Amino acid sequence: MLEVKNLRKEYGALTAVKGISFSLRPGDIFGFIGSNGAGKTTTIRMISTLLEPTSGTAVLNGADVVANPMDVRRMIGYMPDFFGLYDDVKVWEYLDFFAAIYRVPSGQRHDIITNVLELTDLTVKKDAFVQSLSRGMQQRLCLARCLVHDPALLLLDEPASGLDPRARADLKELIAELGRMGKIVIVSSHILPELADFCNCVGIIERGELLAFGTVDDVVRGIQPTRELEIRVLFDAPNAARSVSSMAGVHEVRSTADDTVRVEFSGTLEVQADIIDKLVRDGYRVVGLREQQADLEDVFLRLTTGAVN
Amino acid sequence: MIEVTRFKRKFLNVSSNNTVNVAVMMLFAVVYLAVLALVFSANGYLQPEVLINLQLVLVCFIIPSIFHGAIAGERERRSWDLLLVAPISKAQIVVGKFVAAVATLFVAIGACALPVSIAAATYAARNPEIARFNPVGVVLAQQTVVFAFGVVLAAVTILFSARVRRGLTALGIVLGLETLFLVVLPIFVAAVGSGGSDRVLMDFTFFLHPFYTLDKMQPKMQSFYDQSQTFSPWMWGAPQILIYLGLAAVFLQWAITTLNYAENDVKFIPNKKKADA
Repeated sequence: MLEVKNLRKEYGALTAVKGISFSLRPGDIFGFIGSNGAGKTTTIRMISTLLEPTSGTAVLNGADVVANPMDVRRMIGYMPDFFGLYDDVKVWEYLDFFAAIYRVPSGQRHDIITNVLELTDLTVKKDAFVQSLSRGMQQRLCLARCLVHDPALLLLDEPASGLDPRARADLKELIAELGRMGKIVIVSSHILPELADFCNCVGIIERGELLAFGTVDDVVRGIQPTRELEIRVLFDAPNAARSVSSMAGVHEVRSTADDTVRVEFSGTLEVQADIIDKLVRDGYRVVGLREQQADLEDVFLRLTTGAVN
Repeated sequence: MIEVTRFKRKFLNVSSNNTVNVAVMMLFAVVYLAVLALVFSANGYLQPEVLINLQLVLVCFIIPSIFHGAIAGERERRSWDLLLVAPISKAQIVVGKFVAAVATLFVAIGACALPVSIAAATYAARNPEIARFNPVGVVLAQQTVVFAFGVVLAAVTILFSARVRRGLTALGIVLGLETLFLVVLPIFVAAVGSGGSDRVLMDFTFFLHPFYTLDKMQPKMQSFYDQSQTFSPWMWGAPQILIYLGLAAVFLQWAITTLNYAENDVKFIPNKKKADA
């Protein structure tokens, strides 16, 4: 369990993070969204004990990042937005070095590294030199490094940046698997459609303030209280629009030249079913139906202004 | 540990197609064998202090050359953060780097001990009047001074590696300081103090000078013929060794303090005014 309360970081007159709060449970994959300079990395660095918060707390499984940094470090795997790999070492040696740093008993290291390499699909590269790996493989090696000590929390800062589509798809699947393994995963990114695919909750940050936090659906619903239905009828769209305009829950109805009726309404799926039922009962031939739903990108663009500290 | 692996692979790997490594290693081997051959062929005519001084010159260059990137290099390759999020303190990282430096120094001085000891033994055999001063013991004491000076040099190198962003900057600073304190300052002080007006300053400057110390540890000619005189190389060497080791501890602590202060606000070579602003 990770609990972040009023976390704040000031650099002199500049406040990089303005008292953000959220909590995550095991298995949560949290998409941390924000423009460059919004405060994502600063927040992640505070949770990872690299930066001391000016005020506020971040507690991971009972260990506070300020009071018990060593305990927190044993429970986190941090993958920054750069690789930080050593030249002249092989994949196996690299992981063995970090396993030793994390005090993994030498008798267990072989099995753990084998498992981690298998999980990250790097087994065939275990004797390859680190600098000979492709960018996608180096990214996976960084993730493997984060996993050698079986952390409860993974902090992944822009893990997909610079990866090709195939490598991104692999990484997404890997992160989803880590969530299924019961780890808390915090993924900072500004590639929004990808986050929506595998994150079960998201937070949007701008100028150090957390503007929204919750499940993807909750966040989307938060900015879009009404729903929009696009109904295609066979003919006479203007009259079809008029027939549903007075229904309960319907806010606005428009018809377009291509025999499409756009209905903005609030309520549950029952209201949606009633609208379609009314059109059918009034003799209009419904040939298509599509719900217009805002996505994470719409939410992000609507909530943020693009300003940075 | 990883540094040892990287060092071995970078400099001691002859199995790969690394021709530069092979060439450098061959050169070292040839030079080492040549020195050994020179010592044997000199048959007691080669004074061991020549080799000791040469060894000190090598230490002055080798230690900064190898360890200038100890911490700055981690920053340059951006692996520093990965060490900081591990459950080890900055002090442990600094001490780990320092231990690696001292181990390297120990191996280098150990390798030099063979020709130096042979030179001392053969020189004593040819000059029986100095045999009573235990010349092998003298060179071992001098070796200890070289080692202690190497230790303080390693600490200084790590300190500047901690205080700057780039390894080459640290190397430049350390070599510059060496030039200042080992060459420029002694010449300046000697010139100023040669009139006898400022003898204290000159004595103090030379007291910590490793080359001067090595010279002072050598039994002098008048001692050879005056049987009443006692001589011990440790009379000059021991204080310097203690001071060098003390300075090394101070510089290491300074490096740790620098890192503890600087990292949190991502500032290197901290500027108090800016940090407080």
